Amino acid sequence: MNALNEYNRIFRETFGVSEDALNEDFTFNGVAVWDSVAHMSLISSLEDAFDVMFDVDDILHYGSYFHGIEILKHYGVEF
Amino acid sequence: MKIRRIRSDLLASNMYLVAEDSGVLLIDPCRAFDLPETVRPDFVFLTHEHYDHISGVNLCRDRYGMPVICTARCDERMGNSRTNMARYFEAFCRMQVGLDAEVPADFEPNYVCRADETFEADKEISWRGHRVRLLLLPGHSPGSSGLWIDGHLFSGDSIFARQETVLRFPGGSAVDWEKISLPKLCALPPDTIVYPGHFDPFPLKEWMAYL
Ligand SMILES: [Zn+2]
Repeated sequence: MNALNEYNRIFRETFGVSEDALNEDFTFNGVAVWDSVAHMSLISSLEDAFDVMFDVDDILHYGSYFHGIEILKHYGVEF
Repeated sequence: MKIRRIRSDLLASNMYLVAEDSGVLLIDPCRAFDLPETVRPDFVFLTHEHYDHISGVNLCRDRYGMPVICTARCDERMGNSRTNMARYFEAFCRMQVGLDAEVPADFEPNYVCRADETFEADKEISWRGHRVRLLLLPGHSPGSSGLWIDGHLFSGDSIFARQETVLRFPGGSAVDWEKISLPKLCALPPDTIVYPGHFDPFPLKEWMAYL
């Protein structure tokens, strides 16, 4: 499994966007469809796909497409 | 028949007690409640698998020996703290705006429970002389259903008075909602009173007018 491909697929499917939208502007505060409900969907899909269990603080601070990659690296996922 | 509502400390979800003669049926039991010793606890019905609606299931069985009934999908998903959302409950509460977002310190992030009886298609049962209809209502979650009894519908999180149904939680489905659940709800008697999983009861007509 290529981690970045999988990561992008989850973002595309959760938010219904194309790959071009996934850049530094793709953040919780900057994207209207990224609300608390979508956030739970995103987190549970990521946990499923990468077989990790996030701490509550990491779930709360999972605020952007790029920052999320850094968080996943802490859990041993290699990008 | 008497209906009583108890608001839980988990996102102010509603638990209901339906009483007939000395028997009582519980809908979406929460973690903390007491039944008077004079009632007969008949059974528990669950509207769906989300943690704020199932937190008292183990208590009902342990303390009152009540059998728990829900859809097969609900049963399967509430046996896992990821699919019943207990794991995400604290984060979700802290992100929520508009609902009472206090997170009780003793909530259980690893909570799981199981049913005693499940159904995979709409079903009718009789309870103390009443005809009870159990209706699959997938959409808000795969395991969602409703209980209709004598013009009262216990609808869980499937419908609210003036609010769209939330279909985007993990496992939610707009397609199932539109194909399976909406037509079924629209075919119920319009003078039905809805007892939702959060907020106050309302006439089904009001919801239909809002569609
Ligand atoms: Zn729910």
